[in-house]
Amino acid sequence: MQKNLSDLKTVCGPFGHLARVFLLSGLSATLPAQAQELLAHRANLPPVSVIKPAYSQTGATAGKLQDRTVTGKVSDEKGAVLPGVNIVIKGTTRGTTTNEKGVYSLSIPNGPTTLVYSFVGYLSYEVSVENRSSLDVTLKEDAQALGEVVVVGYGTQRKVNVTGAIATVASKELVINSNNDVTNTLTGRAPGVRVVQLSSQPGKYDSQIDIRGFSYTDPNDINGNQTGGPLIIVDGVQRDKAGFDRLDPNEIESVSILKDATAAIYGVKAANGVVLVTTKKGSQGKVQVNYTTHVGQQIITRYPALSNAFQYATLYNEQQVNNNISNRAELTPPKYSAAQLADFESGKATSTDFLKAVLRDRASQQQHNLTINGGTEKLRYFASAGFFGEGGLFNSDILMGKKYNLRLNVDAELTKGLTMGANIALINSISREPSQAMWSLLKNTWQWDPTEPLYSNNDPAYLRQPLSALSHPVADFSEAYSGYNRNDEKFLTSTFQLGYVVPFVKGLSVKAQYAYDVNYNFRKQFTKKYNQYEYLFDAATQTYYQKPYLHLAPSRISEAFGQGKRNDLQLSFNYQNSFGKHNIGALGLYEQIDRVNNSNNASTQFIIDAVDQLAAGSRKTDAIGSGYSSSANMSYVGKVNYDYAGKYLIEAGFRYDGSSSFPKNSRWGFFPYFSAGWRLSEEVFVRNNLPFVSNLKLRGSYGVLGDDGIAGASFQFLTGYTYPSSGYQFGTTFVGGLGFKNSANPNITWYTSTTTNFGLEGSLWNNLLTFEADVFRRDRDGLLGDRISTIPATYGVNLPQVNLNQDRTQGFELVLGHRNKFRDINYSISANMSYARTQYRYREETPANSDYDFWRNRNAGRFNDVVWGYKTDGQFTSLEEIRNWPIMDGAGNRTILPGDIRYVDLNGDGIINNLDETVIGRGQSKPAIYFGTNITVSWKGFDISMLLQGATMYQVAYQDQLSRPFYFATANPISAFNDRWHRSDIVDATSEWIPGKYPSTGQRQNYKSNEFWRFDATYLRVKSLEVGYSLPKTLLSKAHIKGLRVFGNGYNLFTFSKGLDFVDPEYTDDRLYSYNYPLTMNVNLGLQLSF
Amino acid sequence: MKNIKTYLALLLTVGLSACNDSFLDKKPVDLLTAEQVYNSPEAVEAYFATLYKDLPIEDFSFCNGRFGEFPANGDGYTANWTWETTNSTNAANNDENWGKLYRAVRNVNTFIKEIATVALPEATKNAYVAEARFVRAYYYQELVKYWGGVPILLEPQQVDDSNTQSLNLPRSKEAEVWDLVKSDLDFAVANLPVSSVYGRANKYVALALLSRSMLHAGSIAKFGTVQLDGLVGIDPSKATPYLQAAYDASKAIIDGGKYSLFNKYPTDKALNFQMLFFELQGNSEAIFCKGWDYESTRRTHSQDLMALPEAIRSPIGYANRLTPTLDMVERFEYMDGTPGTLNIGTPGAYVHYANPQDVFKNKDPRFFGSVISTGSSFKGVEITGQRGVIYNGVKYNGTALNQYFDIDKKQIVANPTANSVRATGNSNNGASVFWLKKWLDPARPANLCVDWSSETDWLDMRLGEVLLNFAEASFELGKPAAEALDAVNQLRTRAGIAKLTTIDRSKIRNERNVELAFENRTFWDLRRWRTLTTEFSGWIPSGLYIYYDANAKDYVFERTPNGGGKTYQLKDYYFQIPSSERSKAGSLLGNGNPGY
Repeated sequence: MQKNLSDLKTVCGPFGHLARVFLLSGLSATLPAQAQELLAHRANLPPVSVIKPAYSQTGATAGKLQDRTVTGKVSDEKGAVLPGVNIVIKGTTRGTTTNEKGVYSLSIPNGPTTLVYSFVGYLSYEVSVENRSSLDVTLKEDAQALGEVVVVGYGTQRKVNVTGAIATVASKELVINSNNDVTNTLTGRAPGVRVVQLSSQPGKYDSQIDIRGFSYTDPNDINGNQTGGPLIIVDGVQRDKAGFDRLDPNEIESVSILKDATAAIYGVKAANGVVLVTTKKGSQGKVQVNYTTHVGQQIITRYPALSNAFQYATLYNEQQVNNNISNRAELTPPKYSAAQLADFESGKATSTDFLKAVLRDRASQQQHNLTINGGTEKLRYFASAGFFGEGGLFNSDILMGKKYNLRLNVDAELTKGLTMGANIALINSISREPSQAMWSLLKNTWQWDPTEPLYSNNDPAYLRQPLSALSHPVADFSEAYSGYNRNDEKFLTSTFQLGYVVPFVKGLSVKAQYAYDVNYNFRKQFTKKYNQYEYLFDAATQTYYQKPYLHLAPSRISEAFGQGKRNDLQLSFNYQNSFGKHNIGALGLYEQIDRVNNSNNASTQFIIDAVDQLAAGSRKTDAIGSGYSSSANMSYVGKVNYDYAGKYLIEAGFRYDGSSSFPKNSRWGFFPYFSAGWRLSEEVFVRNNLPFVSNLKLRGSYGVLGDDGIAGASFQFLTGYTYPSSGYQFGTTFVGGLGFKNSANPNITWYTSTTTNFGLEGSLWNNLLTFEADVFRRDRDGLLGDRISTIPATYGVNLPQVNLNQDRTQGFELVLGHRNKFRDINYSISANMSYARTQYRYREETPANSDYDFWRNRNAGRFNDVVWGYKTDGQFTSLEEIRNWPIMDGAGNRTILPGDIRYVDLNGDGIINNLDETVIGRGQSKPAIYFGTNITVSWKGFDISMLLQGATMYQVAYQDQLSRPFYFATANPISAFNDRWHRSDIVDATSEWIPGKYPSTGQRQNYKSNEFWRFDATYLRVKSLEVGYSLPKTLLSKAHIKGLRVFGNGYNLFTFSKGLDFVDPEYTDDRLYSYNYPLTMNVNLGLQLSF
Repeated sequence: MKNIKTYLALLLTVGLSACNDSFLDKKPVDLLTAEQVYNSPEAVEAYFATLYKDLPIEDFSFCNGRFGEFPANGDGYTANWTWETTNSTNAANNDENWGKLYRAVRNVNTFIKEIATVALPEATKNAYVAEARFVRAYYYQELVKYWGGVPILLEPQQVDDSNTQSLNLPRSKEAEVWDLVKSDLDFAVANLPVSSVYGRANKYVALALLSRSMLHAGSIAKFGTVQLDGLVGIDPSKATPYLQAAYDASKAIIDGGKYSLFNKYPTDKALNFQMLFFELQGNSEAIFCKGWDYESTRRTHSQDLMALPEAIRSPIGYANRLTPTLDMVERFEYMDGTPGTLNIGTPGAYVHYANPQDVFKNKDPRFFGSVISTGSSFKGVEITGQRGVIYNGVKYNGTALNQYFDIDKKQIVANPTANSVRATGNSNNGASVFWLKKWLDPARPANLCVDWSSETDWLDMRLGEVLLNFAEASFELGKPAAEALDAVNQLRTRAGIAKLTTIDRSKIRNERNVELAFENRTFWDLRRWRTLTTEFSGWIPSGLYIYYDANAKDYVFERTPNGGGKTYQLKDYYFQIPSSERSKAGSLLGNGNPGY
């Protein structure tokens, strides 16, 4: 990827003088995108003008040692000269630097002398001078670290000059994970970035990304939706996460993650962090064709198993006996007799695993991608076509996900100084799932009593109608029985650019960019009625018959169309120049965005459901709906950066943003930021005293960012009457009502985030050790809230939201890296970890009625994820213990049994009740500490890349069926609950107790919010592992193949978890009552072919 | 090429110098202005649709902590926690209704204020205001029933950023709220037309609400206790004027002759009573109804799903959520006017019946119109429900739906065998063998009774209730007994049972309990009579065990305790004012209602 300077001169042609400016400035290249990208792709340019002062050869010592002179030239691997290279006599502080022509001259003492050559972006080089008087040296680029160019706000910058907290993920890391969702491929790759894969359901792209804990998932939202996700910028334009998820990783050049105030340049919503995606560009040269494919399997990692009939019947009887004791219910004989239990155990009686009847443990997936890359001096292109297809884990094949990606990126030089670019991409993702919501179908399946047969009278033509009247899993997951839900989503993104290098002002260029995106989705949900049967005896006719029970009636269909459009116009100028050691850059930009969304939906019911079309429905049951929304933003952006000799770095910028969400008087917000860096490693005293320091930089940033995020609460500044709204029946007709929007907040405005970040980064001993540490804080002010503390309900209006609340998120991140070479083996290891937590600073709440009320129910000053409940102290082991324990059941502990959870009497009043509740943990299923370790090893043609990823300070507490046995009356408990305290004879209340992990079944006191059921979900897993082998080029050249690499990879391969044994530790607990489609590991074989 | 550069420069200049932010002016597409609303009869009708939607009509969802579509859309089901049914859900959490009712009050106040400024004929305006005040009275009578005296707002308050504290208002006395209800309804009676479309108020609807409200206020004054200086309770001296107002309003309806008792099926009294609550469009007795209908309104509820007997429950489950107690069943007298106690003997000395229905023979036809019982037929299916089987003196109790007793094996089995008899029909509880019939759709097939599928309308006010209001007001005012006797006997004649010859308070109240069973009036009756604490605290309802005697091949019955034991205290006559409101208002709302 990296080319040298001389290349650039020829390649850039008309950009020659620009490049020279760049070279002279040695600074961040805040150039027009054309130029940036060219530069970024063609060369990681070393600075030229950073001419270090020759170290003064001080005093007499120097004079004494002076003996002879060695001269020479330093160049890079491509032969381009390197000015400004440091040359030091090893073991001394004497040295010099090369001049503009890369030439140096240095006096050295007689005798064995070793010279050390070092230069930013290149590996240090040591050589013994011996008798030579002329010594030309070639330095190797350090591809990984310092020469790296990263994509930053509206431009690119050499990593060494970056003053913000930015993490990057490279293209090759993205493709390893073989996960179709780009968000998932970021897992563990960058510090401070937390990715949650909510499920592996095909076509769902069920993932969340959160930067530094800046996003929030409402624990009360059963869908677990995230609010305030990061801003996603693809090729310089704001785009949706849905479109980002569905990108083909093969078309991505790099992903940068802006985490601090420097993200402010992107304005609106950037306070949640920015994910900057750059797609690949064409490069000059011969046509290069790459084909990549992998084919593999998705395999369930760990999913709850259900009890078999014997376990079920045993637990059921136990519950009955326990209920008799604890609830003083009527004593009834156990539902299952000893004989029945024996039959279940021996397999003589039916035991059905309804989950296994529909779910298999693996599904296939495959991916293909073809890219064509090439161009001439004037025209370069990158084209990519990709396909990803996957099946689901159900036997019926009802699940399916497919994705097609097409992209064409073209850059052209129209005339001298005038360039044009176009990026056009089309994504189509198609999926199919059952007609009813996945989570509720899983819930149904988990609830089936395993003593029921799958089919009525064991005749597969008749699905069984159980006593519980549950719908049948076989029908639920079958298109033929119950219909389907199909989604077809299309995303078109297009970006067009014109750039012009203004000839009469050195370093000035202007650019116009226009982006037009449209996405379109079509959902068709066809719900079909079907029968389940009960096999009954008719006494009148003395015959058996199948009695039908109708499910999902009436058959119905619902179709929904949605369309979203976005126009984004950006006009900018860019200035870049150097005056001696002063390097200056400036950017001015105007941006306007407008978005329009519209949708409509129609549904109808069928009399005859053979035709799954709206037109076939009964007209009496037609219903339609529609939606429309629009919004706009206008922004002025300015940015200035300055550095002195690449040593002192300063950047300041602002954004002046207007939003259509606010009224005229409060719609504009001014949001400035500032950042600075000090490269200590460029200081003489560091260089001289700490020669092992290859790079050391201290940096900090501070800024105020604005957010207009008031989703669903637009036009809060207007009053009026909303129409239509729900209505009433007058006569025989329905009259649509008027909603009342009769209170407004005319001053509603931006809420702000004040972000502070300090970082220290460096590398020692030529990258044998690299490190990066950051601490950060984000304070948000003016978060929208209801003024509930002062306005009484008798006022009678849905109150408008007011900029009232405040919170704070803070944490730290650490990255440690090591890379080395051992004989033929190159290896690297990089570990990152991050910690973040959010607390409320101010929160509008109703005044407390008492001190206790204040302590228990008010949140100001508290962390936003605290969970209340009882402290626990193990489990009771004997009745003796129970008798002597503080009363915890309100009934003299008579209802408590051995194995039950011991709650702690916090206030010591001898009674355990809600007054003993306290903070017992953190919820939101967000790990406080999140870590990842990347390991790469290469040896000859072999390469291995592994990502270890894990989390700690992480608790989960599941709901519904995962929270206790028999959550629903006769619902089948997961088999893990069989490991429990129980009597040696289940139905004999006096028999001996046998200890187990969980309490005895049916003891209700155990299920209050408490520590016992909050599992420590700390885990470490091999998130991805890839082993590849590249065939020798000599072998391939005969077949005109440039490269061929075969590889095998895996995702979620091995998992080590601490407190959880029945479900995957990443299985989310905070949505859909803990009924999620399983998480999978993926195992693939693939090849990469280029010619 | 040169042009492009020029344009580019121009564009840039224009862009960067643009200061006009009209680009950011977006308009909502679903918002009407006041002018668009008040000047359009269609929009005013839409306004009223919302006002009516917010009416706290105590329909299918009553006592589930929710009121019909107020606030939620029809979830839940009727359930009182008295002898009416055993399935009782406590309506303790009513905090949200405080805010919802006041939101509705503000909407009606806004309407009254704004319509005054519109140029409309005075008569039109008066009719609008009269209807709006009827709606407001409906909101306030609910507020006062719940909380006693509440803050009275007759105009929309305006918020002032600097002083939100002034928005807090003190509670008015309970009597003052009832007076407001009366004055709003008096205005409505005077200015509303005599007839209106189904579901909308007219003069008689206002009179019926006045009759109901004033009877409530009069009862509070007569039987209640004044506390907190009249914030709850009413001075006994006001009993007479309130009862007189109830008497007058009831009499105006009865004498108006517009309504007559429903008697469409005179030969089948049970069917007639059942259909009274089902055939509501054009019903001669119906004064005020609330429509539920998928095709025309897209509004449905789930009453059938919830209340169906287990034996014919919906494919998606539920059922049995409303099971009348044996005590309720026995409140229905026999047709000859004798007390309704069932003749079942005692354990050991059972009275045997060939058929489970025989034990109910000759009961008040209203029983068969209101309650489904074991052995009767509903939706064309025989409804089963029994505890088990007695064989050779041993009881074999069933545990689940549709179990059988295998006589050869002497055990309960899941499926019928050659020599077996039915042992159960009800999985839940063998003691609950009665189900609600009033308000169930007799026509909809059980397998189509899924969630949100019920379309039965709600009969909120009917002549039957007005007659009972009249009888009670007349009796409590000490008017000639013949008045009350005549009103009650009109209902008994229509029902098909013997007339009363004498009248007293308990006879009036029992008639009311039976006639208005499951209409959600009992909940309030027990409160205004202040009998909830005296008759129901710690009370254990009865259920009925039905056994098949496999030797005698007939049925025997046994009375059994069935749930209950709830404690009622004096504080339960009112709900507590929401705590968050008390904390905002400070001393204005104090500690709320007494006893909490």
